[in-house]
Amino acid sequence: MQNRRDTYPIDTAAKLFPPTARPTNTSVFRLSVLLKESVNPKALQQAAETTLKRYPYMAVRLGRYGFEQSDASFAIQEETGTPCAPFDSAKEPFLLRILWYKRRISVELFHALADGTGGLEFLKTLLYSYMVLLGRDIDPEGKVLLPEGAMSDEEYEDSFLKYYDGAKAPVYKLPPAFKIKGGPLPAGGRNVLHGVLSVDGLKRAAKRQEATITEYLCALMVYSIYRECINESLDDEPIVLSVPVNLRGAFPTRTIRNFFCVINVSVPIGHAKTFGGALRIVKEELRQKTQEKNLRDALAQSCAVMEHPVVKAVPRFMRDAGTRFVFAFFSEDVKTMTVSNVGRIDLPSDMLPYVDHAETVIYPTERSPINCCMCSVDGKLTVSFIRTVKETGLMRYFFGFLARETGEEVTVYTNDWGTLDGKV
Amino acid sequence: MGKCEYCGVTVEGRAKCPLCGRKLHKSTPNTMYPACRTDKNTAAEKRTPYWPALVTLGAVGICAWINLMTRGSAGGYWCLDIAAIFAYLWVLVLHTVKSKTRGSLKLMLQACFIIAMLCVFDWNAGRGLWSVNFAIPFACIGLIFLATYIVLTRKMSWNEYIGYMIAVLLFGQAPVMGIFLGFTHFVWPSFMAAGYAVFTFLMMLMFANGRYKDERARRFRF
Repeated sequence: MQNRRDTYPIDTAAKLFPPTARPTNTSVFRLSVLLKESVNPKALQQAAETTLKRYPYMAVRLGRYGFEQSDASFAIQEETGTPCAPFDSAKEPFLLRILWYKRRISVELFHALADGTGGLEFLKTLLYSYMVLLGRDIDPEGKVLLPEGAMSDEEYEDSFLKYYDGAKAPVYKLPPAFKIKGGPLPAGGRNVLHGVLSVDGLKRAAKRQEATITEYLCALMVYSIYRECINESLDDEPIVLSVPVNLRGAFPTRTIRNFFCVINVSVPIGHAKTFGGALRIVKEELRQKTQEKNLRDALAQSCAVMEHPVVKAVPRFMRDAGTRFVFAFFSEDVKTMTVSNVGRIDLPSDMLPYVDHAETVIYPTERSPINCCMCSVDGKLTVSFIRTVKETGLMRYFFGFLARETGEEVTVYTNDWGTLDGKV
Repeated sequence: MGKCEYCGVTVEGRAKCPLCGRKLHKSTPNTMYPACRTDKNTAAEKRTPYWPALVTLGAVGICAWINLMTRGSAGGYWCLDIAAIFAYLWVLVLHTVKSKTRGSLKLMLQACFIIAMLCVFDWNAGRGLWSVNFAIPFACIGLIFLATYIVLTRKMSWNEYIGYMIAVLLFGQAPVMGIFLGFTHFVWPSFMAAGYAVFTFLMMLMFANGRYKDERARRFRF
């Protein structure tokens, strides 16, 4: 029996999400695995129940004093809508969904609950339980939190507070970034477009440029934005990519909750005119901003505001209004798009023969209508774009460039949201 | 799976390339996603403003009732001032703040409502004509100043720029209409507004940035 509690506190990073979430900024991300055969819904339901028993702090709803344990029974759903649909925290008993459609198993999480790394741990346990229930012999190899294992308090700890030493870091407002604009797709849904390619070819292409895969893809994104979205006679703001960074690399923790910061990679228009120029700036910025000192500053910036006694003392509705302003002014205004690299999903080797590839999708926002997320499993990288605008030029250039430069076959597919009228 | 030669990618589950829209030689049915439904929780985003409308009607109605009950034989219709303020607030919120139409159009509608509101205030306050003599010209000067500030600080396309130039000219000419119609007795504020508008218009024409000048030369050959 797990050590269940009635309430769990909302961690420092997660305080941003509930006040800012709305249908056009859902704060919901999706992690999916595509299997090589169709999903068995009965086994998945059972696996979901087992997994939620292992992660009781994920089976919660948003209450007045934090996350409250939900006593409702959890049901998996067949996928019928578009990814990253909003949660109605007042009505829905859980802040996560487990969806299935043909070969895909998806977990959609409200971002207040966990970050990508935490979500992945949950998905891996779910997948392990599912496969074991189907009678497969899986050796976890220490890569999965086992369903029968004991939950520890560290898994839902607020690691921001654990590593915050009270230091103060100055908060600067960056200049406004270039914003992608376009004709809106119908409201109430989001279009996703995935491109799958081999990691090997991409690795070789990145190595030729003496860059990592993240640096290479970020630079390509900047260059694609410049080529397809910038009006040179009108736009002069820098192209800024918001890149979430997992803080677990610099500050060891076992938390499943949020423990990430966002760094802004800013490339002036003049440098984005060539791929090489964009790559040079992206490399410099990413390497400099992911140094431990800078990550510690980012951590201090998050905590210093949220833990300030005055901020804590003000009534909640005022704090929420302030949070919305800070989000719009310091986050939305200063970025062009979010590019999140979830990285390699490290599955036990016994599970790999059943998995085709994985997908990660991050929600778009009003001012950042195209966002990108990527992940890889078993040598296959999936780059997933989510958008609420009609224009596809950015994706076309991005995947075309990748296919040319890596020499690998890029397979694209989409959910067709808003595009079944014969247009792209 | 089909191959799009134009984009250089392989396409799964579609008869057309999702990137460029071109037809593919081979196509497969979409087995990756279902035909997607709209979100369940979208309704909250588009709410009809029933409560604000009710508050407006209630406030104006109560004011009108009090006004009519207490005005006597020589009293004014001050409830019209309240109605004008509420009308202006509705335009401010629904059009100026929420609408995604052009900035110059928003500014012109603002000017229309400000002028109308000042006229109503003046008419109710004894018809001293202070609105056409002073308030409207100075309001127009303020709006021209605002248009200049927007043009200087915001990036905009050439047609938006022309929209602001037209707005500036109209703001300058509106007070002069009062002179022609015989309402305005103190003419210097109106002429000052007109002069400032013409000056701003000429400055916008002369010191427009390169991209506007290029567009103007390309489209109008001057």
